[in-house]
Amino acid sequence: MQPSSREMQGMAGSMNGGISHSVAVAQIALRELQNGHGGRQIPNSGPQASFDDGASGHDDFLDQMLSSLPSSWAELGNLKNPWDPPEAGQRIFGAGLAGETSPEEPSAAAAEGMRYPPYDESSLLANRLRQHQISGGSSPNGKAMMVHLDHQSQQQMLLPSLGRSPVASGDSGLLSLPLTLGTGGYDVDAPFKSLNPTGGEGLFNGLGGPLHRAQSAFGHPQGGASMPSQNFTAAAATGGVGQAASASASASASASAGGGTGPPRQKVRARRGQATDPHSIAERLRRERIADRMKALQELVPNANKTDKASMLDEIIDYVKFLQLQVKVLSMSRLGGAAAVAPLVADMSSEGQSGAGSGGANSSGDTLTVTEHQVAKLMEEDMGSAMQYLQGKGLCLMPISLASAISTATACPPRPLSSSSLSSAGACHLGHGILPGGPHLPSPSGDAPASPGVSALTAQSAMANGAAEAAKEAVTVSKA
Amino acid sequence: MQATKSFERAFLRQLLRVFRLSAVSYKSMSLQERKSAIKLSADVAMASARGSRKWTRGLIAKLSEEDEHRSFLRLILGTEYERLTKPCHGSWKIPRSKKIVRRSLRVCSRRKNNLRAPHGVKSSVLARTLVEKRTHALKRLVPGGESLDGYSLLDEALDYVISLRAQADLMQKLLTTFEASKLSALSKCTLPERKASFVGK
Repeated sequence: MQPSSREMQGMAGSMNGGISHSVAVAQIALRELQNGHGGRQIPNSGPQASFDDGASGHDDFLDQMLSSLPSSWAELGNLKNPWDPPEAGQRIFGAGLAGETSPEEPSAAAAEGMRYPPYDESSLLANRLRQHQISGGSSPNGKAMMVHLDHQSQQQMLLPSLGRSPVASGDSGLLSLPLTLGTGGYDVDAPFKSLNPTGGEGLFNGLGGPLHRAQSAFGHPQGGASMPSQNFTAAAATGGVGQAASASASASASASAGGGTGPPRQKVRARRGQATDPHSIAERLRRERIADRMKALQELVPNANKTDKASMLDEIIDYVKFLQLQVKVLSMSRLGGAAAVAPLVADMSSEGQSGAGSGGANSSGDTLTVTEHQVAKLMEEDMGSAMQYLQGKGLCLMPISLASAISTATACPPRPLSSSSLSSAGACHLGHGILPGGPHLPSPSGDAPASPGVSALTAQSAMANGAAEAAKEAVTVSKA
Repeated sequence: MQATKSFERAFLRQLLRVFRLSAVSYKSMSLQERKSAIKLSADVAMASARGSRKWTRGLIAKLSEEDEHRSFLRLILGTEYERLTKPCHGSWKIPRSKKIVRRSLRVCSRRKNNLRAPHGVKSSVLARTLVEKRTHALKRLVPGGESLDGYSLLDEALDYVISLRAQADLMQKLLTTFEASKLSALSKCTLPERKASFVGK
């Protein structure tokens, strides 16, 4: 005990940063296991009993761990760890001890000014890993578990495995850590789970490294796969955290952010580190989420190949304005008349006739211009009734371009009557042309010269046969 | 990302219901009145079909500002109205530990001060103000967006865009359907031979 405590005190000033620290922690834990504490036998019952007791039981456990420490330090010295593994490794337990308010490490704890619950977790983790590794067993499942680790399956794996676990509070301490790691920044919001969490991905990318090494070291007690699976995933999670900066960022951010995951609510606080870290971690997490949303919006908004945030926001704003305007225009257009008319289909015939009657009464000669005026008047009030009026007269509305197309198509027909040209006067400013065609034909007022043009032509209605033809054309046109 | 089928169906159902309810009054309105009435109905239908989201609440709150709309809303929404208008848990923000936020703010300000001295370059400031300006504009556009932070604003904007697009598409389809049905109805009751010509086509 003595040498370790001295070393720990010596370490006080040497750590530099939470990320490196957590990296060191994780690496230490894993490498210890990897290198093996072959001879070390820690009785399972003791630690498990301590787990059962919860936080209070950690003391016994840590004592056992500390007793096993000196054997591992020699191996730790071999590690090519830039963060000074022995010190870091000692730090884990020092942290755990301090978290346990053990008298051994008050100075280190005070010097760090740290908060230790996460170290409880990591120390617990390390301890349990060592236990299981020590108690022996094969590790065939490690690889399988690693393979299946993706975002959802990790969570699913964790939850049932934890459900199966007999251990209560100790596990929940571990549970909160891997769960938060798995969810990364997507803490409480269920709707966001479907999206690919970059934090989680970073985590899993980081998992590849230590997992390969760790899986050989993991053993599975006869107690069942539940415990080792938990430990594996938890350790893998911490290993991933150790490996990937972003993963650790998300871990600590989530550790700091999402405290309420386990049923016995562990107060999750930031990892040990300097002031810059939580800031950068939280900011990085926030940026990742925002970038995610930006990507989703980019798919949605047309013509959004901009990579710049400001221009992307610009496009989004324009698109929203456009859609709102479109809705406004649609509500202004014939939908109103249509909506009013649709439930009143039965009345249409009577309205059509009445419209035709009023139109006929008003006509003073040139039926078409009068009709046009009447239609214009009606259109201002109600598009639906305007349409009905026209159809009552045997006319329909269509865009001028379309009408010109039809007139050119029918410009040289065998029947002179079916030639039609387009009306201009009233239609010009309406942007539509009135094409004769419909059930009721006003008396033909003579054929007009068939001169196709864009707008400046007057239309004359056709005779019966031609009217039938024109009616078909008009019908198809209006239906098109 | 597409609007879900259930949303579209619910939206259509609500819209038709609203039209049926208020069709009688449409005849007596002017164009402007009818436009605002239909827009109101469409918005209400969209909000009620979408359910409970930040922007739906904001939209309904905005629509309820006028008393006359409020009775209309209550009629349409029924029991949902009370549920949607009561203030929801506004704290859907990312849960953050206060200590960390305070510390990060301190560090952030310190960092800014350190950086500003050597560089004196305003490009980042410019970029930030541009983004801020646009964020404010987006906040004004998205209903209920004033009180949202960056991430939730984007989230609500995404949802709102999807719903708006569905709304516009649905209204357009409705329009064409109505027109087609009107034409066919007219033809049915006026010219039987016309119908035959239809069939012939």
